[in-house]
This record gives sequence, structure tokens and C-alpha cells, in this order.
Amino acid sequence: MGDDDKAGIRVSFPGRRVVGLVVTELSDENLRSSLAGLTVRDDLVELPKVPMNRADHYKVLAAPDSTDGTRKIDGPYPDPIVVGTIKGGVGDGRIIETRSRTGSSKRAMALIAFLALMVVAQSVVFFRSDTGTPIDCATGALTLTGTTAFEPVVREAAQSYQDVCTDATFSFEMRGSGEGLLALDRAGENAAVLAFSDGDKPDGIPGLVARPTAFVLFTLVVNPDTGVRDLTTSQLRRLYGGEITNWEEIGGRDVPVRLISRNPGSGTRAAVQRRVLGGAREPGSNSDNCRDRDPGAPTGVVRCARNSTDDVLRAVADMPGALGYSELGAATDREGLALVSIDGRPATVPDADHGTYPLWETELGYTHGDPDAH
Amino acid sequence: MAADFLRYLTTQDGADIIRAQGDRPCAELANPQLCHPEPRP
Repeated sequence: MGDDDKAGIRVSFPGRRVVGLVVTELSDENLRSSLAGLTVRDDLVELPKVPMNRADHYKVLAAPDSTDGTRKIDGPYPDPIVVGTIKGGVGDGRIIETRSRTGSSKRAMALIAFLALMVVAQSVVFFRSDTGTPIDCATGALTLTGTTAFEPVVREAAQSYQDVCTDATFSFEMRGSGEGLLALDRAGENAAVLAFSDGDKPDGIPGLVARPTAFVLFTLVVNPDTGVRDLTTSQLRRLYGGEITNWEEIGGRDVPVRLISRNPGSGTRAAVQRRVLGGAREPGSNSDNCRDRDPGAPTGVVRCARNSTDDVLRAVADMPGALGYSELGAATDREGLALVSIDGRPATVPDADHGTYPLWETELGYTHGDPDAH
Repeated sequence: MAADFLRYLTTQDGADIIRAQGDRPCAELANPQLCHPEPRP
């Protein structure tokens, strides 16, 4: 190319026309005056001759469009044709083509695909482990003692644990919260015993450590023939205090009151005493059969005690005028029983949670010291 | 094994069994502090 030609480099875009051209970058502002000769004619861009020092550069952005304004559908446009050489000792003076680095490189795409795969794989592993096998299946034998109120849950959970972890075995000695804790204490530090208790352990067994396990509700239950379905706290205190001896006195039917309770040491009994009776201890029993006072027993309303939740519920269903208490799940949908609300509130989790239903307890799992991790 | 079974009761299928009985795992209460051992008077 001769020095009289003003254009240094010509770039043509066959099949396209250049609709816009702009200088986007200058290493030195002085170059701008030399770039005044930048011209566009249809498909041709002419870059003027620009005197440049070493390391000087400029960038020009050209926007080509199809000649007729429609999109080409039969494949890509032909490559642009570049004509010209560079003077002044830049390499061998030839034009070197580089490609745009916009978009994602293959390596980046491969990395993204790999990471996406990891995310999917991790969630698959997570969801499988959540619903399927417990990750750490323990092996061995464990004796479960304590509350009969929580027994149905404990038995069912032990069964389902065993279904998955076939090397685990369970035995059950559930005779009430207090007895379970004493049995655990007696068994010593290395025994494989777990005791469930409704509420805190009594004083005097400092070696036992609790873990809160569940929030359990209790309910009062009556024999339906009492005609009573709701009792106020004050009525309950008078009933257990022996002041009310016939349901007629508080608007029920003419049936004598019979109080069917749990033996001392029962967590359910402790919950009733603490949360409904204001801390007053239930008087001792005066009847074995729950129907009549035994000869020589103190007078007053008939009181008897049973060893388990299930025994209480059966006795209440059998005995006219009976009032008892039990864990809610065990009492629900049982024939011959009516649930009694307290101060107008039936036993529900939201009411207990918000302090409007009083008869609940924390189910605690006790072990000797902190249980081993495995 | 005691620790493992307790964990199973509170965090895995055991929690479903507790709910089925009408009770609640402690963690699901609006006031979970109800569930902790209460300080002695």
C-alpha cells in the first residue's frame, strides 16, 4: 500500500453492512486526531494510518447488520476480509487475527456443569438419608423404662428403628416415670438403659442427665354417665380435695364421684398435682376396686390408684361416676370414655403452647451421665 | 445406642410418630423453652 493512500487497514464484511462504528478505547488521547479519518462505506471499514508508539493501542467496535435488514438463516456470515499491513517493525508486519472472548469458554462451561452435578448429587444423598436409613445405626440391646404415658410412642419408635437397624434390640420395662428413673439409677453407669419421664426427675438422683424429647399433653377423662364434659380449675381442686362427692353438685347427673388416679411416682399424676391442683398432693387411695371404700379406710369420696395409663383408662370406662387422667393420645377415640376440657379449653398443642391449657409436661429421656455418641 | 435412639426419636421418623400420637417434638413449639427441664424453685 502506498503512503498516499490514507487508509491503513481495510476491513470488509461480505454480505453485511456496517451500521455503527465507534472508538471504544485509546491508550493515548493524542491518537484521537489521527483516527479522524475512520470511515465506513456499506460493508467496508477503513482504519486510517495512525502513528503509534510501542505499546500504544486503540479499539474500534463495528456493528454489522444484514444488508436487507433480515436475519440470515442459512448458516453464519463469511469471515471479514482484512487488507493491509502494519509499518514500523511490529512483528513481520502481518495482521494477526484474535477471537472475541465474550461468552463462556468451554472450560468454564465444563466447570459449571460439574458444580451443577455436585449440587444435584448432594441433594439426592441428603433427601435419601433424611427419609431412609438413619446414617448411624447403633447395634446392641437397650432397655427402655419409665412413663407409661409415652409408652405407645416409645414402642412404635423402637419398632420402626429396629425395622431399619436390624442389629438393635429393645426390651421394655415401663411402669411409670418415677420407677423408671429409680431402675436406671440402680442399673449403674454402664447399663444400656434409657428412662423416659414426664417432667423432671425427683431430687436425690444427681447422676441422671435429661434430654427433652417431646411435649406431651394430658387430659382429664370421665365415665360418660357423669354428664360432665368441662370442669373449671376450682371445681377440679374441690373434686380432688374431696369436697364434691356427687356429680349432681356441679350440674352433672346424680352419680357418686369416684376418683381413679395413678400411683405416686407417676409423671401424669405429678403433672396433674403440679399444673392443675396447685401443687397439692392427691390424698391416698381408700379403695382397691375403685367402686367401694375398703373396710377401715378413711371416709369420703372413693379413691383408687392404678399402675399405668391403660389401667386408668379401662377403670374409668368401667366405673360409673369415674374421673381420671391420662396422656391425650391414649385417651382419644376410646370407647366408653369422655374427654373433659379444663376451663373451657380442650387439650390441644396450640393452647398448651400458648399457656391457655395447663395440663402438659415435657417428656425427658434420661441416661446415666451424658450418653455416648455411639 | 441410647443416644442414637434419642436422636432418632427427635429428628427422624420418631418425630412423625410423636406427632401421630397428638404430641409434638419440642423443636416445633412456638415456645420451645417450655420443653426444657425447668429450674427447681
